[in-house]
Amino acid sequence: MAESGTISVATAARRRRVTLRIPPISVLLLLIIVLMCVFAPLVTPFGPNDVDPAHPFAAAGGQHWLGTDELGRDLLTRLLYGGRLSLTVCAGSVVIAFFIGTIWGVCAAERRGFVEEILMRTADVTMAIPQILFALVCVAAFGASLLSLTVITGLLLAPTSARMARSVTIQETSLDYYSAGIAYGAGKIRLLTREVFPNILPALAGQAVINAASAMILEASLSFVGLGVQPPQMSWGVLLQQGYGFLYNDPTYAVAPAVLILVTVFCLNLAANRLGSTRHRKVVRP
Amino acid sequence: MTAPVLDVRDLQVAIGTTPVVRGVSFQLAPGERLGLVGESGSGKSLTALSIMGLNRDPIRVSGGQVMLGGTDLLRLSRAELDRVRGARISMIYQDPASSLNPLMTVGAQIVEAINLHDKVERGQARARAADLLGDVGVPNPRQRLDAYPHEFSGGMRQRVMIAIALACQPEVLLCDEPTTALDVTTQSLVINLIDRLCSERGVATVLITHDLGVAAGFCDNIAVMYAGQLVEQSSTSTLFASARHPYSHALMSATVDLGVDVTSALPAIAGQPPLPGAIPQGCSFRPRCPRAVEACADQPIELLPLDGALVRCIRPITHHPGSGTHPGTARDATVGPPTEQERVPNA
Amino acid sequence: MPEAALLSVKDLVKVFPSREGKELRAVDGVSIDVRRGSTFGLVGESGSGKSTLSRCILRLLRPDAGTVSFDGQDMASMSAARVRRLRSRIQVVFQDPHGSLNRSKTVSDIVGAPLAAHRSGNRAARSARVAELLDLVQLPAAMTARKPRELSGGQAQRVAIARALALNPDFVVLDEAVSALDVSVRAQILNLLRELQGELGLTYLFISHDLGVVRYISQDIAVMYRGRIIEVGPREQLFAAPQHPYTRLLLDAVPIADPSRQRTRMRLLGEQTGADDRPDLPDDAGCRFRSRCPVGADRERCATEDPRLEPHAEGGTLAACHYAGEIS
Repeated sequence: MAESGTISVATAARRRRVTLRIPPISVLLLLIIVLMCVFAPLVTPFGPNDVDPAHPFAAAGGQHWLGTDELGRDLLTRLLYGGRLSLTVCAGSVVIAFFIGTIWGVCAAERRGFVEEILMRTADVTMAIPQILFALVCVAAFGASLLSLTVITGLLLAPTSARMARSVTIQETSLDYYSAGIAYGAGKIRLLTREVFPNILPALAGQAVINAASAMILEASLSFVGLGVQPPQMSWGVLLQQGYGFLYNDPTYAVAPAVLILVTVFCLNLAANRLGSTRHRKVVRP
Repeated sequence: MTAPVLDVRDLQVAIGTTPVVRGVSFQLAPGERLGLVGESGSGKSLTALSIMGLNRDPIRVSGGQVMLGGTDLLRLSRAELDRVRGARISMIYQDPASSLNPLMTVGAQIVEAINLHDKVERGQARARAADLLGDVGVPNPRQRLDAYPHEFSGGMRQRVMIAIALACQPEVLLCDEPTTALDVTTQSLVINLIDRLCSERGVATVLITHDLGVAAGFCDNIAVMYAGQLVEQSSTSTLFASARHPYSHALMSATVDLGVDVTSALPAIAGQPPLPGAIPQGCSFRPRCPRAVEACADQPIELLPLDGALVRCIRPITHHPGSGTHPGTARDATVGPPTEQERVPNA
Repeated sequence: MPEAALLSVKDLVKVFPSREGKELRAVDGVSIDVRRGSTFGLVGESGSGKSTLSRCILRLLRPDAGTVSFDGQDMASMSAARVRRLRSRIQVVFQDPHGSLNRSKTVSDIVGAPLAAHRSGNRAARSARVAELLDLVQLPAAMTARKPRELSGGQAQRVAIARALALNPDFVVLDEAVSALDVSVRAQILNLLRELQGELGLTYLFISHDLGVVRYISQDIAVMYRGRIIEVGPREQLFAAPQHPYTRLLLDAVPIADPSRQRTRMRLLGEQTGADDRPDLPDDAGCRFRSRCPVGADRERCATEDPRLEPHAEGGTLAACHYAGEIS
């Protein structure tokens, strides 16, 4: 009869240490992209608007890693500086969506019935409007500034956050610790902010990462059609649009921003998956 | 003794690398009813799931044999196992609501179970399904074949599960807490039904339960599990009259039934059951045992025969002569003071 | 009995809307009196309305009719602010030991949460009180930093009890508080609850489907069936001479740890009530138990007249049955 059941404290400790994994590749890649954009002046010796008329459309390699554009500006440099704007819009709109969506969803979950109906049907209607169309109307109304771009994207993404917030809040508040809290006389606001919010945060964070991917695409699309970031300011969408005109002369010009957008969105989605799977992983008990 | 239909030999199951079932062996004679009794975490359900080959990652069988007739179920391929499951060995689960498909009629689910192993013509399969439903005590079986699971009450759903499990005349039926999710008044009906059907068909049954009372009314023999091991195995009457292992004894005393003395404190077992991965050396019940001595910690304790039972204890409880004639008097047995009859492992 | 009642429920009704526009009367005119310092046991199967009743008492649900008076004050007509103040005197322990503790908090946060919510004392005073409470429920002080998932079921339930006692309540609702625990741990918790009652002079409302446990801990017991109390009385009388056929059925259904007797009981019971799937009868027509009743299934009076809860036997039991006592 095998008696392999006893396990030393050391083994248990070792097992615990293994669970502290290194961050996944998607997160590492995102981190590299963000850091390079933020510290762009340290990464490249050029400025984003340093013109070198002698060398337009320089090939990739040598001094210019990704070559130069029609005015001889370094493409990598422009991509990094453009990334700053793209990422700012992305982050800003995610934060807006997070705050509006969370309050929206938690209110709906807490006030079941009439208020919930109104809030959630509003969310459904908002989600049914084509995003680009909504953005077009807003840009036409408020002008194409960086701020309005961020706010519009944030508003467009808020309903998805609201839905997530509502469903996880309903799940949490149906647990007995919430009822027990009401029974010992804690107010609802106190319970929601101190007890429920930390528990729904992982789900909301996962949704925010998915939103970041959507925001990235939305920003690029709007800028590409000329309704987002306006030249001479640049974002990945703007660069993509500019490169598109020289697709046959210099494919790298258009392909590089496209690849960057693709990789960032892909990594964001992977990271969101990752967040989701850790959240749902349960402790196996016999 | 006839050859056993099910022979589990030294079954070991682990979650990841943590052993949770640590060498469980038992035999099941044709038509026998064996109770596997233990608290949550004792490994009783995992034992059943492993016998059926239903473990999913990270739970896996790490050793032993499960002999059904002459074949070792643990060595079978998935396709071979599919042919055995349902046909020769089947299982009913604790929660009848989640083990039935909500989108299929009850009749279709029984017919499916029949068709898996017996290719019969459609009308014939339906007739057999109706007979089965009638057998398990569902009123108006012909009409009820076309009903969906949500149209049945909890007790009726469990009856449907029993019909499905018995559709192909298995030799062995594993029941994993079949009545835990049911009301008390329904519980006896369902146990009674399993009892009747298994006798009629000669199906050998393993009843997995945490409720000693349920096991008492149903089982011929009972195996008590603690921390992934059998600690005592004997006939039901012997166990209830004179439990030998301090854990079985304590479990019975701690059960709050209609006979407990309401004026005094309950004889509770101190402490908590050990978690898998933190099971003490030697006897796993030692830290909670009122009879433990230093020798209990020395080495693994073997499951050894004692007066017709199997007991995993070096200081089993002795019972006064004659106390065995009064069932339910296990409470009167000597627990505290040392005994004259002490055993040494491998003696 | 009523003169010393700490909690008194009168004709309480709670209706839930159900599908197809029908309504489900989960609690349908229930009255109970809980004596100060005693334990009142409430037994019933799933769907009997016992948990809805407890949630109405705790004001987690608003009753549709009837009164709940606590220590002479009617809670139904009370302002929200006064209800909140009264909440410190009425506490609850739920069934699921892990669901009733917030998984992201530590044991000391959880036990101290009621104190923080009522702004009682400063940080140091609170942590001293938490230590005192953990000691009271016999948990080692080393547990304070643990998270709920690191606790066993019994330990988690002790934490829930400590939290319930934090504000020095008079009255604790124990809603299936030991039902999810293993046999060996259940006995420990029941012993603890009895000790605490003696030490702190608590009054309990003990709700359970388990007759053995209710019998052990309660002095007065009420049996609920489909929203109504069908029998209520002191423990001794109720168990010695149940008047209502449903109480009898429940008592017979409790498994006992005696193989030969249990075997015969199980057989008898199986023959006695063949079907547990008979359609529910409409609430207004006669006795709601009659479809399962061995006494009144075919009697006309049971089909036409709804029995009232009335005294039937010596010793203070009330039963809602026209033919009370016939079964025993």
